[in-house]
Amino acid sequence: MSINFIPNDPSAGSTAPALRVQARHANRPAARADFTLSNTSAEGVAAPGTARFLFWQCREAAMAALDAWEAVAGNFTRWQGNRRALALRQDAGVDLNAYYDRSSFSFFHQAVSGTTYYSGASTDVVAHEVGHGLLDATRPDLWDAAFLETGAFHEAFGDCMAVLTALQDRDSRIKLLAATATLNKRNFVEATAENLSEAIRRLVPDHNAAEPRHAFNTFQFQLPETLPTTGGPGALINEVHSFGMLFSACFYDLIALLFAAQPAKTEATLLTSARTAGALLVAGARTALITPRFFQSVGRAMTLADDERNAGRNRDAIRAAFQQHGIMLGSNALLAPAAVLEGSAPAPGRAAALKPSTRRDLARRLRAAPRDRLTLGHADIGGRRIPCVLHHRRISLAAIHRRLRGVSAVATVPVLIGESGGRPAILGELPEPTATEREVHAFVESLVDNGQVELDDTETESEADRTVARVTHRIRSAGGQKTLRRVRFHART
Amino acid sequence: MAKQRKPAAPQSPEEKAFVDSLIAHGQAAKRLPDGTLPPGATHELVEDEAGVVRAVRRRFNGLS
Repeated sequence: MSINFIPNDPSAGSTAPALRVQARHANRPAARADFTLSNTSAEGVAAPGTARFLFWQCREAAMAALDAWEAVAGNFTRWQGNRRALALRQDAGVDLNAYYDRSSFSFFHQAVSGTTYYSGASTDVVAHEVGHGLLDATRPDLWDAAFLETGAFHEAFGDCMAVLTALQDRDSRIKLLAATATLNKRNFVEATAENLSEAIRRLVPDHNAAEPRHAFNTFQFQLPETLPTTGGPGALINEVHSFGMLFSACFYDLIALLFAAQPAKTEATLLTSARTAGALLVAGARTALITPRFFQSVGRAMTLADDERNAGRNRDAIRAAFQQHGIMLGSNALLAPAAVLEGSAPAPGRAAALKPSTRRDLARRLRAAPRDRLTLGHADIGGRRIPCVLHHRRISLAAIHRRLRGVSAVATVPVLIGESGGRPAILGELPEPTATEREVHAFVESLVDNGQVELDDTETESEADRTVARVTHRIRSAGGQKTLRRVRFHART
Repeated sequence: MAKQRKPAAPQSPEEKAFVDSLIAHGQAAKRLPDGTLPPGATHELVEDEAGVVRAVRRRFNGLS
């Protein structure tokens, strides 16, 4: 017995593999994670639009997505929460959407202008939702992560799974290479959910989702808060699905770069390239630290995974793929935007100046105390003059020694300022106040332990020590404040 | 009618920006009278005993 199957999306276009008759996937082995099916239909070749077609199409697409995962990440045995099976609902009612909620994958139908659209009939959409489930089983902590980039990464991961699922299919690889030998133009693999977008376009022509999401794009990273809330079809906006296109673009470009480096350009080497990229994606997703700049965090984790697994053979390709979209993974991350600030961006080439609103916001972000000073200068980095704010932070030394009560040290912390999306932005990393305080305390403790601080009592100083100038730091009073200051260096410890 | 409370201020500007984005795109909402989330919502706005409203993820979706 066979079934009818659409390997990509009902509206993927003439360059994509058409509806075909094929054998259905075998049932999952008992030891592996599975789906609970409902409203089942007898196996057989059925026309699109029928309940039988939808049941087998949705099941086949979900199985194909698991195949794509297992090809790069090994056997998949349990969903999030140690569940062996989750419900696969090929038609859960009326909607133009699809959901994953830790207990089920749900797909819907809706009639628009005389045509009924079924989200469960798109292999893209099914693979995207199954991708959420796979990532959730791997990184359940991302579920509640409260940053737009972590949410956007989850959406991007779904789109990446749709790309991997398509490239797992031999017919799709052959058709793709016939359409674009280099992968460097729009095609049915990098486009996601064309059919649903068609329905949305008919309902709301200017909706952002009226254009399919594209992993092949030229979007450049900017802090999501600096993007508009709304935009025309396909525009990059500060919404998780849209913003996710930045990451799926890095992933798609990585596949293209790995494929470009293959000695022969065949469907087999395309599969190898996709699986290499897929394995690195899964490895990076497993270990990336949750930060507001999660795309960069995943990219760096992919680079480290490549060092470990492949002796760094793909490091340059990973970095290039991310850099093509303005996400810096190497030393140039020093100049990558990290956090947006209020006000307008500093004008390039002009004398450094910050608007009062920017300065106030920066002080808040740095948790600057009222007595802290912020001074503005510049840093010359890589041939560029970058505005640089120096945060002169007073750190109490009362906890170090009783004679240091009322005394503070001044730590000068540089913060590079640039722009993202026309807004001022902190570049590199936002200094972490607690870490700075700990570093200063550790330093002063070492000075005290070594007798290098001139305290009023010299109980720890031996006669021999007194004869040799060990002191490098003294307490100075100015403006009503006592500050520990260096008075000299010396060579002896 | 009880005054509607705004969502609690999240811990950082990045977290606040995320919740603002969810609300702006209809992805964070209160449950409907039948107990379901509105179409497209991925987060439920829930109010705790202290009256603080938070966005809690309930699901992922395929489209904005």
